[in-house]
Amino acid sequence: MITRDWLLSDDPETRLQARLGQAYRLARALARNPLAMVGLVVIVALLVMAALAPWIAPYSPLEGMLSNRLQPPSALHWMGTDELGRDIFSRVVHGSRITLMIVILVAVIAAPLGLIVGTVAGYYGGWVDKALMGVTDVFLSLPRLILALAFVAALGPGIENAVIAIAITAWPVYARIARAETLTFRHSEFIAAVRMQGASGLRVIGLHVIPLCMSSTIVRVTLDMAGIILTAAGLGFLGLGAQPPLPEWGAMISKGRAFILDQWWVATMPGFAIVVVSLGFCLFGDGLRDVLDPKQRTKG
Amino acid sequence: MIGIENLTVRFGPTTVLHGVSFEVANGESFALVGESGSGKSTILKALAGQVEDWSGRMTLDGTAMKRGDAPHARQVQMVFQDPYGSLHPRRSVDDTLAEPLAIHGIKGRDARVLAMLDAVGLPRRFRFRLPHQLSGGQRQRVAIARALMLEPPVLLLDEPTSALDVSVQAEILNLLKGLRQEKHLTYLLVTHDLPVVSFLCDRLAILRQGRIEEQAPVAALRLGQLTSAYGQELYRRSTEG
Repeated sequence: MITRDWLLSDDPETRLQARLGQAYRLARALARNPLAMVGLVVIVALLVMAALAPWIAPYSPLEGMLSNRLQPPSALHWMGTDELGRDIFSRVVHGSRITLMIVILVAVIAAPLGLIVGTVAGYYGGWVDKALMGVTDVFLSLPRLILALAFVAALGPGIENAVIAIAITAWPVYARIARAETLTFRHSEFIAAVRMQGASGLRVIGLHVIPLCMSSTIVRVTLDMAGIILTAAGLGFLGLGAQPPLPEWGAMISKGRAFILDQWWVATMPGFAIVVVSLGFCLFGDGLRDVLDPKQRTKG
Repeated sequence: MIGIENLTVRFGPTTVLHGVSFEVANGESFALVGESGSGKSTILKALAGQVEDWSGRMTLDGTAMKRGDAPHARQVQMVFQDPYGSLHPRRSVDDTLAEPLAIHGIKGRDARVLAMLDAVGLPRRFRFRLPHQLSGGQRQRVAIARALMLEPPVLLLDEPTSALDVSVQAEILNLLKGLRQEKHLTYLLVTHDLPVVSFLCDRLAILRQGRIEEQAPVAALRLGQLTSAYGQELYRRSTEG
């Protein structure tokens, strides 16, 4: 039976109890931070919206009635309709799938890549470090959106290429952070101890170095989510991300730009969605950072 | 068990050890004493394979060490000075103790971990605790247990008690003394604390600026009969408090 005392026990009897106890302490610390909870609610809402898009959206995101075009927000169309008579609310709801896909794909590609490059460079040092960090610096020195633009231009516009382009521009930051963090405990005694036990470099990095860099990377990725969403929206706005008729939020703003003075809702509603989701990730990331700070972990 | 001949270590342009030689017999407990900067920890690091630039000859259990090579994990292990820095902050006691077994593919990990907890006097309920849930003395017990998991005949002790409270120091010293008798271990201890030497060791070498000033049996230390002037000075400082 799982009880609070069982989870918080200082003397867990099994590995599972110890792990669950740690997770519970973390969750409890996170729950005490109201802003992080607001962020979490936004993220969960985004997940639910993406999962249930066809059932939540009242109309088709792709088909509209031209007779119904550019209607202001009303009870029938909560966010109004766009220049082709499509319901903007339905498009925003379906757009959450695209946003979520971009965010998850970028995180899955960029974070592990940066983590591995950074920890390997930091752990081995010497010419390995110089070579890897040289490459990282090259990527880091180019402005993110410009580099993404170049890649999309080379690979062709489209959502997959936008993801690849953003991932390519996102990983150097994680590599830098992971390297810096690795350097702080590279010469520490617990690493020397495990090396004396005969552990290979790969084992030391995988089991001892990466776990220590993990929390800062998770925090950083969560905080970067907002930037990733904005970059994706930026590419969409420039016509290099998701292609019409896909309801990508950035592309929707781009289309609405033409009517911004007379039909403000066309551009504003997807913009509003971007702001809310970005803010949600930012708040949640901030909360995570507070909780995952190792100095705070003894509390609770 | 440990043989060191003419060991010279350089860190860049500075020479830290100038041709140091000594031997430690099987089952013996040998102390390296000196002030900070005397090079005593460097000898330990060289034996542990953590120093790149050394010359001379080092043998462990009859096998000569090669430069750039770590000694075999089953021959020698080390207990570090700072129990707060020598345990991985995110790994439980169980993870820490089971890791050497996992590296060397040794079976029966659960039983071995529990037996080792008993041997170093840690309650079994501490098994899944993280380092931050342990006191300094308990952490040092974990560090000693970790060093013994592979059952090496030689243990390198780098000021194992200097970071601990006085009352806890006594406990750890008693533990080390008991373990040595029980498992017939060879100790090479580095310290600046002469009472620790007379409690735990059979012989000692006094180091100063990278050279051995004197080697003496511990009885000479107890009676205050160190022959070198520097040894006498250290003895006087230690007795005056």
